[in-house]
Amino acid sequence: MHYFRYVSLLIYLSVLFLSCQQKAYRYKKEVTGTDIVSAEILRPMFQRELYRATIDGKFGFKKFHLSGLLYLRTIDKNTRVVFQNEMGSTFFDFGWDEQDSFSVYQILPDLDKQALITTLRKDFELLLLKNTAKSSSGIYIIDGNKEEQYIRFERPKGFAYYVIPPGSFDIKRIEHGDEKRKVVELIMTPPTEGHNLANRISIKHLRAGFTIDLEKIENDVTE
Amino acid sequence: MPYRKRLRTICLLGYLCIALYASGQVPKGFSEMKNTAQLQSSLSNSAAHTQTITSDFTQVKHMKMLNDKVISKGKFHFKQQDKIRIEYTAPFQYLLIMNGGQIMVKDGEKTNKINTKNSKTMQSVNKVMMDCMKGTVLGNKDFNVRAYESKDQFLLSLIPITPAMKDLFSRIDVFVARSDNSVTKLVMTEKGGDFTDMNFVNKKINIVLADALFSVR
Repeated sequence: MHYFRYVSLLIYLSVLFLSCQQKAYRYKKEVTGTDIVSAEILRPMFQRELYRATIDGKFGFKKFHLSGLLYLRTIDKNTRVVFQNEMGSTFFDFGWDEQDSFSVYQILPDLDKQALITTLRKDFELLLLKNTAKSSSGIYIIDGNKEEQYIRFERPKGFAYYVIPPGSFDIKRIEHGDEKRKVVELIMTPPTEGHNLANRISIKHLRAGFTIDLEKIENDVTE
Repeated sequence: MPYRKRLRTICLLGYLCIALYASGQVPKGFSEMKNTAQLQSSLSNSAAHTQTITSDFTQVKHMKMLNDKVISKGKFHFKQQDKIRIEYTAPFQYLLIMNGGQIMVKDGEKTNKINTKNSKTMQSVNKVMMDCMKGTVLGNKDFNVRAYESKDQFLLSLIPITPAMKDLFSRIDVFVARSDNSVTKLVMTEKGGDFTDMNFVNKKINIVLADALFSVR
């Protein structure tokens, strides 16, 4: 009886261990005969976008919630991303120049932590296709789902998949990670159309356990 | 004196002159009030006769480097002694209630309660908002306050002293109407030079406001 319990425990632990080791993109198949995709084709083009932004997550056992406005602007081929609270105070102001060189223009001292800046920077670089490879390194079908194609771009750490329906460049999802696991997932609702940014973008940090939800503000107010 | 040392002295003197000029700059159309005791008593007197204030507001965030503005609108309510409700209605819904030492924010379905005792920043924000409404802003210890006057308005210029406030603002300007001593505009300037102004219009004084409007439960 004891022997049986011991073996069951061992099997359970082995399955647990193996499932932890399971690769994120195990069943991927390269789509052959397709062209290389330039990052330019997927890169969003915009003058000015304003989103309602909420950040929800957990720090230890404590839940946190933060809200504000996310302002994105292209000015003279430079891109700026500004997050401010509803009363106008700036939380952070990030920018990329024409060569995708990154700058922090302003950040609240409480948020001025390298790990946080790096995380947020990566999120926006994924969304805006900055500091990414100029062209794709492959197109794949994952788990046999032919409704979605995964266009892979190598990144300084790991890679990103831009998930599109076949025959279109409207982005449904962006996934960032490595062969072992997915780290960040950006879900676009509805999918991006052409070079536009989606109306709703949900940035899920699967390991860090927090989510940034963005909802486009269409009816901007005039004075 | 060696050239480098002389250059450093000249630079330092130049810097001091600019700093003195900047700190003593009188806003255009205003003159500095040397004696603020009378203003303080006038503001307190008006506040004592003001039980409630209701107004619409337009908030404009001016982004200097980006040459752009973000505009929002809403409703403002104040009730003696220490209740404020700021409700943004366009282009997004957001509610902020300050009641005593408690702050409640509601955005969409999410409600968040903050006890200002746990945050010096929130304490200061709460206090400065209440002081503006209660006419006691000249005595706020978190700021150096300078008072200016024009034909129609008083301007109270608040320069933060405490680190918590210095992180958020480089200055807050409170514009007060001479006619009824009520706040007509708030201008909050950030360290980088961007600023947000809140203009209060359609003001109604002493109309009945239910306590439920300020509930933080």
